[in-house]
Amino acid sequence: MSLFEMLSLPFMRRAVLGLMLAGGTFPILGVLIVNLNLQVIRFALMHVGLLGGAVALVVGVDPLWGGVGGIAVASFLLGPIADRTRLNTAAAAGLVMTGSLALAFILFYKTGVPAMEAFNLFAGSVLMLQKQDMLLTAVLAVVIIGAAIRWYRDIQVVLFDQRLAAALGVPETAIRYVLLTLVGLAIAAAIRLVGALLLDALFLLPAMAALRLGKNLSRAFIWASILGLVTAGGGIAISVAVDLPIGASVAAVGVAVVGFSYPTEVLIRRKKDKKGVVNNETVDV
Amino acid sequence: MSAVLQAASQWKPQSGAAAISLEKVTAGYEGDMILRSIDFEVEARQFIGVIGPNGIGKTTLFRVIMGLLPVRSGTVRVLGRHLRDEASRRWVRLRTGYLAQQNDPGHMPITVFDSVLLGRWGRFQYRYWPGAKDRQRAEAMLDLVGMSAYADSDWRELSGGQQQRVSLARALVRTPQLLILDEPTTYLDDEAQKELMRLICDVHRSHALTTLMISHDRRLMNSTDAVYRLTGSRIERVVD
Repeated sequence: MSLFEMLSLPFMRRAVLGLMLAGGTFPILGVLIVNLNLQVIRFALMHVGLLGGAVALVVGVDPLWGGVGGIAVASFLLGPIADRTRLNTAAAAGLVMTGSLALAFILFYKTGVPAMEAFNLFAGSVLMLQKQDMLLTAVLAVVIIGAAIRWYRDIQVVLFDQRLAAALGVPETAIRYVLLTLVGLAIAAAIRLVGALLLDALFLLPAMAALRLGKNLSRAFIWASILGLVTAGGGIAISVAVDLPIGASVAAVGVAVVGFSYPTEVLIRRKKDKKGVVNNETVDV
Repeated sequence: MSAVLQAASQWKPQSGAAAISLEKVTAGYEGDMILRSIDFEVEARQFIGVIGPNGIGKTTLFRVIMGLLPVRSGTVRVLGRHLRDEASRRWVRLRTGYLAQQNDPGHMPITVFDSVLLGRWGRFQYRYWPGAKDRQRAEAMLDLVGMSAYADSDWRELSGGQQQRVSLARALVRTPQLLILDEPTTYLDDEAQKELMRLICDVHRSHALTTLMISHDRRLMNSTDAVYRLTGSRIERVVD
């Protein structure tokens, strides 16, 4: 079956649209995750998702909504918890991660709910996307782009130096909390799209490559978005062409994108150096 | 009031007026009061040094002066403003240049020029976005610190001494009346330290700034008008 024939199927259209929306915008958050050293909060939020799923199973609700709700609440609270306990965000994430994992296992043990149903949240399936998943992803995409444009200079100062941000009067605590919440919501959506184990393919891989190629934050955002689209689009195309699982194909393309960013960076640098030499020669003459 | 209008209203000190005045100030963090009933005054256009070992409260003092840490008791006046409300604190921050010790370059790509432009935050011509006026000011400040040739370079690739010169340009791009230097030469080699201090002294005089330098290194204080030592909860003038 060709890609165009596949696109005639509603679930496939949703899968492609969902992945492209996420691919074009979630890597922007990936740039922030790398810069704020938030890598570890991904794991913390996944485990809170597991606890949310367990709670949902106990009260008889769809574990997906329990997981997404748990992640949303935890991402909102993680910043204030870190600040109140005077821990750095990574240490606070460790606290939240182990605490929620312990609670989830206690719930499984005491209530006898099927633990595997909660663990299924980690698998994700882009082919199972529903309209509400699409809506969540689309709203997030708009919010991420809007926030990146409106608060660009504020974000730039906070990422550059948090002490400088405070001295200038930038509301750095509020900015940090909003970014954490956005990252959490996007992780919740990405777990649904590609599963917890492969979500780095959507967030971190294009961002890592973008940070090598962009000469300032705005260009890193643009590169991240473009490379995210390449990762998502390329993953879908390869998946269809050689009959591979979509999530794994997307992750493989993401790894290749990071690999290609190294020689591309060297080429860009050589071109820049050459231009610098030409300019200097012109000045000398 | 727009940022542009605010920029026009500068503090005009009378002769001998205090640019910084702390009266019986007690401040610290949740039950741990680091500064206790401190009195401290800096005359306008003076270059004052504050020394003391690491962890003694120098950064707390700087945070109090910048209005970043609320005081438990006492009065803080900076550039003629009593820092009791957010509007006054914002007014003072818009007129204060801040140079910290060399920071970790991190992962974020940023050109030298853009990193200087960040210092205009709060004074941007178009509220959220810099305009031609901001860019001209950034170019002029880069020129002042002798770093114009590096405007398009990646900030992360500069040496420590070059980064601090650019950071000085960032502090000055704000058109400050008060310049606060928080351990500005830490991690720099002797040559870079001398070069940066020479530049700071020149700028202090040529821009008629009130400059407060906080450091643990007594050797940096040779060019200051007076030196104060922070010891425990007290601050006292050092007599040579």
